[in-house]
Amino acid sequence: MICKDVVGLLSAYIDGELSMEERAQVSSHLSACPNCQTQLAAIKNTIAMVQGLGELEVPPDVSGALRQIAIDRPAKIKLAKQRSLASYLRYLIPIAAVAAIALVSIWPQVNPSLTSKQNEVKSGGSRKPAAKSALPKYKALTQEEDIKEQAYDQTKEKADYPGRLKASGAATESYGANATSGYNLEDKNSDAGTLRGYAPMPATESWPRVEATKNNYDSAAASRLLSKTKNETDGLYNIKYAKENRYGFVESLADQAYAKTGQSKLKDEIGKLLNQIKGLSLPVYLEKAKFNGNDCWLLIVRWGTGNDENGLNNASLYATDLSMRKIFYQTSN
Amino acid sequence: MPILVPILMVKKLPSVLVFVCVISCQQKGVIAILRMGYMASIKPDPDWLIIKSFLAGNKNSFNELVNRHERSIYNLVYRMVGNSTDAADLTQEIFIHLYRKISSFRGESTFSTWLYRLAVNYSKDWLQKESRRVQTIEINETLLPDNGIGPSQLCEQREIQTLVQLAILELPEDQRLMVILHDLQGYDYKDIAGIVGVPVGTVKSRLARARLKLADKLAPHRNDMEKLTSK
Repeated sequence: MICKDVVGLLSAYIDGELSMEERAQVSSHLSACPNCQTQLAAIKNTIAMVQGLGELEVPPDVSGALRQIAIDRPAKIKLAKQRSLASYLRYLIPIAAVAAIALVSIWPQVNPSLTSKQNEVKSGGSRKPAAKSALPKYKALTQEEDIKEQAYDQTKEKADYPGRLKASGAATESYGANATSGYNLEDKNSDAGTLRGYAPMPATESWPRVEATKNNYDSAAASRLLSKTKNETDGLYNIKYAKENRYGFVESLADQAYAKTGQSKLKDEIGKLLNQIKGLSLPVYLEKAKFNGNDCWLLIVRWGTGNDENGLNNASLYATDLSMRKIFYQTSN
Repeated sequence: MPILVPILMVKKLPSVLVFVCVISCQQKGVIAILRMGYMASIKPDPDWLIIKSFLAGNKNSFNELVNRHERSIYNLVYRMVGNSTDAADLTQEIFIHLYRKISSFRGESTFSTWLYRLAVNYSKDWLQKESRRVQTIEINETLLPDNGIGPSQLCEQREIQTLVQLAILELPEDQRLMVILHDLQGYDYKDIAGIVGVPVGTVKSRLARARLKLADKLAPHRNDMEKLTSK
């Protein structure tokens, strides 16, 4: 074995990942080759340097955001489950029907004691025709279920992510067409119906809202804006609604902000601001403007504490820089 | 079907019962739990009970998964991309993806291997699709505390760490990944092959090339390192 071959094997040699034969050959070469010994020491030293990098702590804001995922996204996981139910029904019912037919045909061979009894009743309309007649019945049920599930998913998605759907008008229109043709809320007694009972969306569907203006606010003007927004959004939302829709509101605000101002990556920063609030919160209004002459974002948040039924009775306004990392001014109503 | 027939022959179960069993297994979550339960009976996975609980509807279990894996995933991603801002974004994206797609975990490997594969793919996508190149290197301010080291030594150590991190970032992505997974995260060749989806022989050769390149790059600083470790 020459030096070139040995150098290629030194790494695996250190890790004990060579075969017995290779290991013996490398050991034998090393004992007689100072150059390869130096190379071995260099690699070992390099590994020690790499291992010396140690382990990093996860930054607290990242750690907090990861724990927020399960809180912010219950609606999404529910949505996924509904879809999976529909997709499994699509496959499982035909499979089950075929299985039933096959089982009926196999059963006499498996259990001979039943064969004679079956023969006795065969003339009176045996199990085979009954199983066959069941097949089209199940197929029809699957199609009906599929239509209902599809319409249900779209209705649920609209309830969960009002802002995002609002951004695409075409999607909203097609939702409307499907809803009238294939879905009945009362028949389904769905979560979407329950949600509306808990916290109706505003009739104008104007929240959450983003504006880009040339207004120059001071603390008094900001307080007036907060009062006005609070009046318009009073009684619209409660804790349960905030739990299930906060992520959708944040996404909607970020999407609208991007569409109106071209500024991206606001989603995380809005999330960080919301994390400062102890109760459940819903960001309802964002405006790009000036505060005391400085470019700023004005974010208005409705928030509340307590049980699911409790309303979001509080409202806070944050005036931040354009990165949303520095808060100029903060007030609550 | 091929599974059902032997069951019937052995147990002589009524066909109705089997039919009901098939129908009752419609939920994706239930099937995922059964599948994982079977796999876990073959190869115990410490995470599968938590996943089972999560799929059964206990969303708090997700945070247990976060507790167990956030540090290793953040470290993997940080070492791949070289800065904390992008590492933070990527870590969040990975866990959001995990939250949405956890039911697609089939239990064919351990959960940590599956999660690492996800993280590796996200990191590679980030590096390749965006054609981003690492331009900045950060001094690690959030390193876990290493007791018994003085301020001047700490300063020297951080300088060396910065050099090592830079040298790792200069490696080709595939080789960088080998060094991170093996020398920093402690995975063996077989696990790495499972995570990256390449044969063990490829892991061996990539790691060997990576270490030789690193040894070459770090040669001028080796004496400093030796001095520091001898103090």
